[in-house]
Amino acid sequence: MKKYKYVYANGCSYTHGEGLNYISHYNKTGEWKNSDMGISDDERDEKYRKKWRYSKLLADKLGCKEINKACNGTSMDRAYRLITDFILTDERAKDSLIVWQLTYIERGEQFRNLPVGNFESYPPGYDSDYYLYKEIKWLKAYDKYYFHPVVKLIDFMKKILFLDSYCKENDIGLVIFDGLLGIDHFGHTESEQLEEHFHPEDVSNFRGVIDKFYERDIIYPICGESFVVAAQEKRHKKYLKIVNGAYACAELDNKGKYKDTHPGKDMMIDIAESIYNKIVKGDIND
Amino acid sequence: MKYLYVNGCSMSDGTCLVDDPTVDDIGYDIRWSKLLSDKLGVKEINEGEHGGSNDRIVRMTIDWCVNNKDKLTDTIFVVCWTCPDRFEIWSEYYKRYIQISTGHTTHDDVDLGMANKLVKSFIINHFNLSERIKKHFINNVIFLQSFFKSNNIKYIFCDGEPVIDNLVGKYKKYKFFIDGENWWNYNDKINCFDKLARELNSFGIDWSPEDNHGHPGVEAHKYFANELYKFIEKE
Repeated sequence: MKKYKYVYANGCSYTHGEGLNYISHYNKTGEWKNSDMGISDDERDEKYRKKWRYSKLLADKLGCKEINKACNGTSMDRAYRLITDFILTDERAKDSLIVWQLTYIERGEQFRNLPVGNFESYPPGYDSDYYLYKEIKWLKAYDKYYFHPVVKLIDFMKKILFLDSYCKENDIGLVIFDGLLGIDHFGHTESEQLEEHFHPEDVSNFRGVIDKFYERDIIYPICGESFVVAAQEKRHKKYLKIVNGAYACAELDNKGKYKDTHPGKDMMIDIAESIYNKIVKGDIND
Repeated sequence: MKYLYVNGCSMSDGTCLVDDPTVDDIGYDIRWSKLLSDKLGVKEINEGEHGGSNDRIVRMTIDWCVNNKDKLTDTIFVVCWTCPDRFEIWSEYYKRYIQISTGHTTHDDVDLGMANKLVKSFIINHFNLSERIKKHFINNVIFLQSFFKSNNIKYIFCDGEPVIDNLVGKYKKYKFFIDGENWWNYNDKINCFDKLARELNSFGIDWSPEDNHGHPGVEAHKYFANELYKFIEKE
């Protein structure tokens, strides 16, 4: 196995380590409080988050430095942009293991011209204080008239195939795993269902890309599951732990939902070990 | 080799080679891809389209590859890049991709009112050419190159418009990643089809002396086919 110097991780809150930063407060007070519940900066434990997120655990196991560029609520558009930037412009890339955690297809980003002059994530972003009215109107129209999850997914499968080709050709480590996307659900959609919405020629092209994608065996399983959400459910059933287990907090709120479904420490360890075992031993941690 | 696969824009589909609106003025039998395929003794597959973007080129080329796996070892690909300010968007309303060029929908889609309104808004608020070139176009060129190489596919890149100048001239740090060996006339003075046509003074029926603009003419197509043939033979 190649000796890496860096683990470069990108994704959304699952990679950022969101959820872990509220554990210390819970341990002190016995009450779950996260950003949705107005936790203050002082009450957050960012050191704990950075210590136990999977990218740090994996970097430690591999004897590497961690580079984590994930951000809460962000998209695969952002991750792909930053990963490609990294591998094409950063000297460290040639000694790196890139880890990309896939997330919801509905999330995106758009470049915003001056005075912003940068890429911005959406949604959540239909915030009248943040976006100009005309931009919100445009984003809503864009989602309505120019977005279809299957079209975007196929586009991403091609991007992943490209990235995989590039990394293989240039001996850069690449790990892609499915955090919140649920790619198998899309990938196994029957052609008949697709034909209800798309032209048969497009469906044939989609199928070709999907088949090529699965043929390359690109997605890393986590605890034998193709989807972290499924791995979390499995772990929670097996080891019922309310806080810091499969979920950051599996206490039920007044709507009967878990208070924080981000991975807890145990799940972060599972993710790191699954990736480690696959790249080092070539097998799957089940 | 049995097939020549070509993708590009109007510089590749033979636009304005013949004065015949029934075929969109496309000179199917005298365009460079047909002349080149004849010289190579292979079948021409040309998916180029006037007004097409680089997004379209990459999307359709990959689609063809994944749908024709049995032909890949018998195919040589020639990708002729176009202006990087073009792009495509999926239309949920029309259930197809729409090509956008110089700020609006291309000829075939000029009547799409809603699309044009949204595109105009997109250009004003979200379109930035240098970001587009850096984050999107260059990545696509580099990654398509990797895709071809990692699948042992024979390919040539060339420029229809002077794209490579933009690419490595402005963003020198990306130069390292471009494989000039597989790029027709990389680093040469005449490094795109448009410049070749100007050098030969060979233009199509749309030549306008006032605008100093027109598609390549019959001689230019012949010359370009010869040039690519020599390049392929050398390789």
